[in-house]
Amino acid sequence: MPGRPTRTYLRTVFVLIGAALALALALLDITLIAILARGTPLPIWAVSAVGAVLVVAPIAALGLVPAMRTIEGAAVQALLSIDLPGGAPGPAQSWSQRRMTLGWFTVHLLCGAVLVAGVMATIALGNGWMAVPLLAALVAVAVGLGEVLARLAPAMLGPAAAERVAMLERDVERAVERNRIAREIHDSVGHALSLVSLQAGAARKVIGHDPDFAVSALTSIETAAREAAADLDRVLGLLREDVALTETAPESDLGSLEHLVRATRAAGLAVDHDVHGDVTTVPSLVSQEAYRIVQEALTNALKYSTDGAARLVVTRSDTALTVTLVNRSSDERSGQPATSGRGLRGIAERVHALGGSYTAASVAPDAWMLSATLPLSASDA
Amino acid sequence: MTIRVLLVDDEPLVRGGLRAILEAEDDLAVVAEAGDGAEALTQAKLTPPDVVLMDVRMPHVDGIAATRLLAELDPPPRVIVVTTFENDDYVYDALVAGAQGFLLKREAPDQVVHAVRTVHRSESLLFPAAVRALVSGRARGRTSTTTDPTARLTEREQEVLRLVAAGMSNAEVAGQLFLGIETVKSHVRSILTKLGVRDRVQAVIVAYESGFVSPH
Repeated sequence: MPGRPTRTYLRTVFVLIGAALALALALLDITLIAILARGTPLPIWAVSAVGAVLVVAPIAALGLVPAMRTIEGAAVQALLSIDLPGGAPGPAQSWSQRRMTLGWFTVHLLCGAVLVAGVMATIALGNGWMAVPLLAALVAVAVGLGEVLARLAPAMLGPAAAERVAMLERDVERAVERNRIAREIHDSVGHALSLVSLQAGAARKVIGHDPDFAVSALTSIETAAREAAADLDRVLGLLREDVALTETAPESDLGSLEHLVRATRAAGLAVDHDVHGDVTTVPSLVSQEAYRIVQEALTNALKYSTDGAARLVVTRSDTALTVTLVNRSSDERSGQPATSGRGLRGIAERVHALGGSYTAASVAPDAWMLSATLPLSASDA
Repeated sequence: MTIRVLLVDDEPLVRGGLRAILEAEDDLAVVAEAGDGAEALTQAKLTPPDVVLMDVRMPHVDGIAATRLLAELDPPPRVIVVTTFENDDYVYDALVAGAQGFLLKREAPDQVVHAVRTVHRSESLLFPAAVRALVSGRARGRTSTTTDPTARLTEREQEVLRLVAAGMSNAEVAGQLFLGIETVKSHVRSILTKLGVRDRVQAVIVAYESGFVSPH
C-alpha cells in the first residue's frame, strides 16, 4: 500500500485519465454535431435528439465492451490503491456486470468532465493572482473526485451479490473439505499410533521372557508406522492441492460399493456393474477416493443418461485401481460437462493429487465415458 | 485369585498387544478373545470372565450393544471400554449402556493392568477428566424436565457424590471428608438406591445429566 501523499497523487492521476477520455469524447461529439448541424436542414429539436444519441452512443459502445471491466479494474487497483473484493475483476460475464461497468465508466467520465470544466473555468477567469486560488480549488476538486471514485469502485466493479454468495459458498466448501481431511488424518494416523504405542508397550514388557512376541510386535509397529506415514503423505498431498470437494460421507469406501449401487438403482438408474480383483484390501484413502468417484459418476449418469442405464467397472490390478463408467448420452451431450460440474472437477483435482489419471468425454456420438485410475502405492504419486 | 479377562476387538494386533501385557502379570489371565460383539457374548457365556476389555467400533455388533447384552448376564462381567480417541461419543453411550470405565489404547502397559485390577475390585471407576467433559457435553442436551433426582440426597451424600463424580475412589473420598471408608461405602450404597441406579458410573452420569455437577 503506497503512503498517503502518493496515494492521493495516484488517485488524482485516475481522475485525469477520466478527464482525458471525457475531452476526447467531447471533441468527437462536437465534430459530429457540427457536421450534422451544417449539412442538414433538420429542425433544431431533431438535431438535439440526434446529438444526444451521438453523445451517449460512444460511451455505451465503450462501457459495454466486456474487456472494459478488466481495464477499469486494473486501473482502479493500480491508481485508486484499493483492493477490490474477490481480486482483480475479469471481463464482464453477464449483462448486469456490463451495465455496472458502463455505470462505472460513465461516473469516471463525469468526474473527468467536471475536472475539464474546472480547467476551462480557470483558463477563462484566472487572471494574474486570481489564478492561484482557482488552481488550488482545481487541485482540491481533483483530489476530492479521486476519493469519491475510490469509495464507489468496490460496489461497482467488485463482485455482485450473487458472485459474493458463490465465493462464500466456495470458502465454506473448502473449509468443509479441510475438516474432512483433518478427520481422515485423525482417524487413520490416530489409530495407527495407538496400535504402535500398545504393541511397543507390550513388547517392552515381555521382551525378557518372550522375545518372539517382541519381534512380531516390532514387525507390526514397523508396518503400522509405514502405512500411517504413507497415509499422511497422500492426505497432505490433497491439502497442498487445495482440493475442491464432494458432499460425500467421510467414512465410505469401496466396502460400501454394493450399497451405493443398490441406492442408485433405487433412485432410478439401471446400473450394471462388475468388480475385478480384490478391492477390499486397497489402501483406505484410495478406497475412499474411488468410492467418491463412483458416487459422483453415478450421480452424473443419473442426470444425463438418455436410456436410464449405466455400466460400471471397477478393476484392481497389482499397481492401480481403475473406475470406469459408461452411459448413453444425447448426441450433443448438451449439459453433460467434462469438468464443469463441481463434483467432477473435484474428482479431476483429487485424482491428479493422488498421482492418477482421469478422463471424462464422449466416446461415441451417443455414449459418454468417465474413467479414473488411482495408483495403489504412494511412491507412484 | 486370578482375574479372568475377555478381550474384544476386531483387530488381532490390538488383542495380541493387550494379551501380552496382561498375561505377563501373575494375577491376570486372558481366558478368551472375540472379534466382535456377538462373539463376545458367546465367549462370555462359555468361559465367564471377571473383566471384559471392549472395543467400541466393531463390525456387526458394536461395543455398545455388546456391553448392554453383557450387563444382562448373571453375574454380569465388569466392562472396560477400550478406545482410540478420548473424545469419542460412543464412549458415553457405552458408559450409559453399563460399562464401568474406559481406557485409551495408547495407555501405558501399567495403566492397562491397573485398570483391570481396579475395576475388578469394584473400587473406583476410571474416569479421566476428558470423559467427564464428554459426559457433561452430551448430558447438557439431554437434561430432562423431570425433577432433579439428586435433590433426595442428604447433604453428606451430595458431598460424596460430588467427589465420586470427580473420579475419586472410596478411600480418597474418605480421606477428603475425614470419614471411615465403611461410612463412605454406606453413603455410596444409599446414593445408588436413592438415584435408582445399579453402580457408581450410572450415578455419575445422573449427576452430570441433572446438572448437579458441572464439568468446570
